[in-house]
Amino acid sequence: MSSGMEDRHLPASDLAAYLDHTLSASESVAVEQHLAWCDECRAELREVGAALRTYRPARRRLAWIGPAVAAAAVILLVAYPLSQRAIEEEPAHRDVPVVIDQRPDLADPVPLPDPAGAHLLRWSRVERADRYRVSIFSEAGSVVWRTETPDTSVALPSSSLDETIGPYLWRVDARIGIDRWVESRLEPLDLSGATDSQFGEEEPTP
Amino acid sequence: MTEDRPRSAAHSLPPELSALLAASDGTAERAAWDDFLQVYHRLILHTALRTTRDHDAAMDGYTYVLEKLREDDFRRLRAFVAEGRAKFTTWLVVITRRLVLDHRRSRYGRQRGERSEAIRDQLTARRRLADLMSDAVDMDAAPDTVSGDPGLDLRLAERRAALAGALSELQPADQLLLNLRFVDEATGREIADLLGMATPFHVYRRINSVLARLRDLLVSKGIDDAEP
Repeated sequence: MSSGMEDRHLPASDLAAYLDHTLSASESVAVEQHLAWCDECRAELREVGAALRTYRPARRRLAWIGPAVAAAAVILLVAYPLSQRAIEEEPAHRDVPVVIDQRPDLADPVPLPDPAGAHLLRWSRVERADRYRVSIFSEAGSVVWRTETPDTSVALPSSSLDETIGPYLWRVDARIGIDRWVESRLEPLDLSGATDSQFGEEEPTP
Repeated sequence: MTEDRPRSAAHSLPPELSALLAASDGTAERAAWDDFLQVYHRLILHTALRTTRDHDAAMDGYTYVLEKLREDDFRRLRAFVAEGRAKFTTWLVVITRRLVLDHRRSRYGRQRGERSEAIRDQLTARRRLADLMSDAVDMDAAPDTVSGDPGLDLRLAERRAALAGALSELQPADQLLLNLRFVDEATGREIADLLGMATPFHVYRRINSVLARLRDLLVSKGIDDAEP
């Protein structure tokens, strides 16, 4: 944490880490203390948050897309009379939209064979997802633990939660593109030891 | 949380950034820079456009940002790697916005209405929030006016001072929450995103709880009715 925060504006790394919720508790308090009364840094926080929320990255270009499109065009020209198609169909100027109506479904956590009481959190796979972000919230809605993984399960260390503070809620976000996520439902985190396996047969996806 | 430690696992370095900073000669560096821009140029331009709202100024700012990122053997990018606490995209948006603003100020000076670089008068902000909170906690709000009745004016001033004192006793996260909601008029959804709260519902529930705490603090200071 950078010193002298009370005299200046927040360093870029502190502001970014606060937005990503990667600061420690004491670092977060120091940043919040500054943000509460510094209008400029609060405006910057909101602007950066809005810029990230509104950013829609382009899909990555694929090397084979050019020849494939050319081949498809030749096939179309040969197979269908162009004049007839032009009458029947509107010209297509845009790609077919990708519709993802799948969300991660949360399964009951499974206790791991760990005397310290760690649990395995599990959820269903989402098509096209390459990464999952797991968040645990306090009842008041604050993030108390968060991690990212390419798998459909993650071990929750017993030391991550203070059982005297619960109950907790949890949610899994699946990344289906650069900064495109679909969210699971927000559900209570029950670590009482349920073992029925909704997704037990499914192998974690790399 | 049981310990004072980061709430999330460290983010891995993007491969384009690692390759750029590891480039061994000029040719490799140019190729790596091209790859880096291929991935991030849209994000930089998007941020520049949001920062200036003017296409020409944004393009100038964009060019300036690229120049500054390359400066001194990628000094800024290396500084990010050394700290490495945030996602690269988040950090890049913060840095881009600051550089675009620096560039605009160096060329055109500060825009009318833009605040000075000097530290803002924090008492002003504190009083502003205190005035806004008067309604929320059912106190009479008469912020900048005088009633003509010296006794009434004195009691109103005392109430404002008590409210400002009560606000400063709140947790920093709650002070930030109230400022975002009542001073900046941010929506519940935006606040939830910024503060990492689960849903807007949690934001509003937290605000209600903080307002109740404010009322309790005021009562403890001897202010327990709306009439001054």
